[in-house]
This record gives sequence, C-alpha cells and structure tokens, in this order.
Amino acid sequence: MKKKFFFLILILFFNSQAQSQQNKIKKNSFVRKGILLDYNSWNENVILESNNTKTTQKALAYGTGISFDWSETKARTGYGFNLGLISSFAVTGQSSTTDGYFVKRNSFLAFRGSFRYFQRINPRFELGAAPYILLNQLKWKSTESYTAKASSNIVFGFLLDNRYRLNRNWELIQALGLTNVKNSSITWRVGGGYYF
Amino acid sequence: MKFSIVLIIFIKLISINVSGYAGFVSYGYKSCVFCHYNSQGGGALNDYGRAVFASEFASTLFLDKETTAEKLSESSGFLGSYELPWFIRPGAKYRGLWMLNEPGSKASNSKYITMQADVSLAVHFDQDSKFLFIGSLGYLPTPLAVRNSSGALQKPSQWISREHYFRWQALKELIVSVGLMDKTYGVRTVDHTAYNRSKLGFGQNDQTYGVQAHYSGSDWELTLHPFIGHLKQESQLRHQGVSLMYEKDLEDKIRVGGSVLQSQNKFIQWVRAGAHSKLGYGEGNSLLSEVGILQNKPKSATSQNGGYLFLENLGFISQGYYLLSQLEYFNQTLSSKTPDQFRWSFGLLSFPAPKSEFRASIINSRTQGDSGFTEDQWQLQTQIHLSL
Repeated sequence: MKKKFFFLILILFFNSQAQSQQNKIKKNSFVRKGILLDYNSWNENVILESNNTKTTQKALAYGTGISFDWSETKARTGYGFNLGLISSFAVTGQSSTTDGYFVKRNSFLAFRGSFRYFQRINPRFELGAAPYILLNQLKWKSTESYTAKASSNIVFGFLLDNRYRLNRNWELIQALGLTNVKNSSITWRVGGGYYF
Repeated sequence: MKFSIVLIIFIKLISINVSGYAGFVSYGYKSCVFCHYNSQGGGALNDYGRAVFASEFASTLFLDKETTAEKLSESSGFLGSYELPWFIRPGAKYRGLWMLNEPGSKASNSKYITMQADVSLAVHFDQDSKFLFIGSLGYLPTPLAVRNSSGALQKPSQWISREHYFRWQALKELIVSVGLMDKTYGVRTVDHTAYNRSKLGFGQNDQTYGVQAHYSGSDWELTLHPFIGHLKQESQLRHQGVSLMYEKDLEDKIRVGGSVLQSQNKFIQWVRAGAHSKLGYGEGNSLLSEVGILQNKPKSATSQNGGYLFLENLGFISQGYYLLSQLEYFNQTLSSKTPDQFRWSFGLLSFPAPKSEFRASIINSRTQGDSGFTEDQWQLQTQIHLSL
C-alpha cells in the first residue's frame, strides 16, 4: 500500500522537476517517442458457477504500467500509439461475507495497445480519443462452493486521453474511459512520461 | 489606460503581491496576496483582484469589440464603474451547486445547494492600505445530512461569518492579520470537498481565530499562524495550535512549498505535514500538486497516520475557458487496514462574463482495498458563482 503512495509521490516529482519553457511550433509536424509510467485501475467481470447456476460478479483491477509511446504532432492535431505492460492485481467480493466468493490481490499481467487521435487545445495540452485493446492473464481460483473464471481475457475500451506537456521532456497523462461498455466499467490511467 | 497606470503604480508602491485561484500561476500570479485581502488567498478580492478577474480571466466572447480591458477593469467595482469612497469596499458572493448523484441508475437523485451567499466589507483606515478591517456575513443553509432529521440533530438555517479580521501591513514585507480566517496550510483550492481540505479539517466552515504573520522575501514567503479555534464552538472542541508555511519561487512560473500544522482540543491531537507545488506551463496551463501525511491522535485511543495527494490541472482553451481535471487520493492509515480512496473530477471551468463563474464536471469516486470490491460513486455537477 505504501508503495502505491510513493508512486503517487512520483507524479509530484515530475511536477517539481518540470521547467517552464515556451514550446512554440516551429515545424509542420514532429515525432515524439517516450516511456510512460502510470497507475491504472479498471473493472473486470468474474463468472461464477455454483449449483449449476451462473452469476456475474464485478472485480476491481489495478496496477502499475510501463509503456512505449509514439506520436506525430501537427499544428492542430496528431496521432500516436502506445504499447505496454501492466503489473496488476484484482479484488472481488466482500471479506465480510462467509458464503460469497471473495478473492483479494489476485496478481496478473496485462498487455495494452492503444491508438490515439488528438486535438491540440493549446501547444501544451492535447485532448485525445484513444481506443485500446487489453489482453490479460487474469485467472480466478475456484473454491469448494464456486467455479470461477474471467469473463474475457480480451477487453476493448475507449479512453478520453489528456496529455499535459510540462516541458520538452516530461509529460503528464490523465485518461478516463470505458473498458467494458456493457457494464459501464470505468478505466483510470494516471501517470507521467519521459520523451527523448 | 490612465486607470491601469495608476493601479500598477499603486500596487508597486504598497508592494502587495497579487493572485486569483492558485491555478492562475501560469499568468505569473504565484502569490495570493496580490488579488485577495487575505494574503493567503480566499475571501474578498481587492481592487486589483477585481480588475484582473474582469479584464484578464473572464471571457470576452459575449462583449462587443469596443469593450477594452481598461473598460472592464474600470467597471469591476461593487457598483460597476461608479467609484466608491476610497475607504470602503463592499462585496457579495453567491455560489450555487446542482448535483446529480449516480446518473443513469435507479438510485439517481438530484439536489441543489446554496454553498455560499455572503456579503463582505473591507474598510481601509488609511489611503496606503496599511490598516484594514475585512469581514463577511453569509447565509448557512441547514446541512443536507440533517435537513430531514428530527430532534437534537435538527438545526435551522443560520448566519455565519467566515472571516473577520484586522490586517496591518507592519513592514513592506510583513502583513499581520488578527481575527477569524482560514488556517494557513498548503494549496488553498476553492473546492472545499477536495481531500486536501475536507480530510484535513480545512472545510468550508473550519475557520479559526488567530494571528497570521506573512513575510514576503524577494523570491520566498513565510507564514506563521498560531490559532485558538473558533470562539463559537464549545471550548473543549476548539482546536488550538499553530501552522507554518514556506514557499519558494524556483522560476518565473514555478513555486514549491511546505506546510506543517499541529493542533489539539480536549479529545484529539492533529499533526499535518505536506509539500506542494504550483507550476504554470505554456499560456494559461497550470498544475497544482500537494502531497502530505496526517496524524490523528485521539486522547483515549491509538493514533492513525494517513496520507493524501491532490493534483489539479487547468488546461487553457481560450480566455475564460479551461478544462479542469482534479485527482485526489486519501488513505486514513496508509496501510491495507483501510482502503485507498480516489476521486477524479473532470470538466469545464469557465468565467463566461466578468463577476461570474460556471463549472460543469463529472466526478468519479473509487475505493480500492483488501476488504473487497466497492462500486464506484458518480456525480454530475454544475456550479454557478456570481459576485459583486
């Protein structure tokens, strides 16, 4: 838990490291490549089977991701892609119930690839739409009462992806969106990136 | 033009720094003292603050082309362009909030809340503004939580003063304020429900009587604020203590700082310590951040050490219009015994006309912990702020 807190402190570190620079557009377009480190949180569904009855239960997945980011920026718009891994955990059910299905800190690895099309609101602020695909290795342990499995290991989603360019090298990312449209499951992505 | 020149000379002469919201650091306003009578921000705006709000921050989209920044500045007073005597500066502020909880669900419900309906008065005792009195009186509606209750909890609406203090500019660099005001600590965001306010005991009505001494160096500020609690509270509930805040400018639009606070009443001791930064980047964009720890030590129980984080990003769209993204984190014990609480507000912050503010945002609250899965909470909010 403390590690997560210190990760959030990292965001503050990015902030304090940033330097005020004017980043005026000099070319028609430019390419940027960088590494992003971020905190991710989204919902998953668990399919439970007990006494030949199937039910679906929501789970919260969360983890730290690292990814490669590429973008081409023009005067007003731009596009890019992002590929990376998320070291994740998931929790479902309630510890307070004795007859329900409860699992905490279920660790798994997820791979995410996304495309981003963005509008440059101003030279330092990009507001984008980012459809993405999430492939995960999430497996749920079965118990005496329940057979459990992930509803899908391939998830499609959509993010409203905001990028704030603090200076030439450092960038802040804040993205909010839907992972599983059917269940209105919300995805969070918050972090920072270093661009070469 | 003449007015602007006189205003600038006046400000330079009395060496007051200036600001609006902390997010306006990107315009070079790193300190609150420029725009507010309270040198740590919040409360009534001074003449300069009113002029800046009207001419620099408010949208000019609906104004005709002949309305210049000078004209907007000149008409920013309480009675518009009618000039009041130099020794008196009245003001009024209304803030209303409409919220829709859990939109789209069966449990969805909406509410309208009058958050603030205040009148204020600043009295200048001399033309150099060395001696001032600032006070406010406002309508305090019955809190929603107790509005429909009965018995002891039932309280009528009442009047409240959130600030009344004497301000003395003892030296060019030193401002001493004595009276009722907000505690000096961290980033003073207008959102009183933000975790860096509500979880630390700096809510909308948590003001205290005390002495705030604010010293401004060439590129730093130091504020000491010993306080004795709110005299309207029962004596055993009053928090008595002291806070200290230091801020240092690293560059033109970058300020970092730190705060500590220690206080106690008959039942509990509080310790808060935090670091913050105000970063302006590009034209109109800003990032405010605050991270800290808190200790709540009940006199008859073991203490809890928690932590919090606050990030607020303002993305400039055009004059008077910003995209606002606010991210908050809180854990009561900084351990797996208590859940991580996250909150994300995302939406529009706008100043569509002078003396007005409009906000529209979605707020998602998420709880993450080992005790199990908790459904997110959702809220749609719109706010309207009007001032005179």
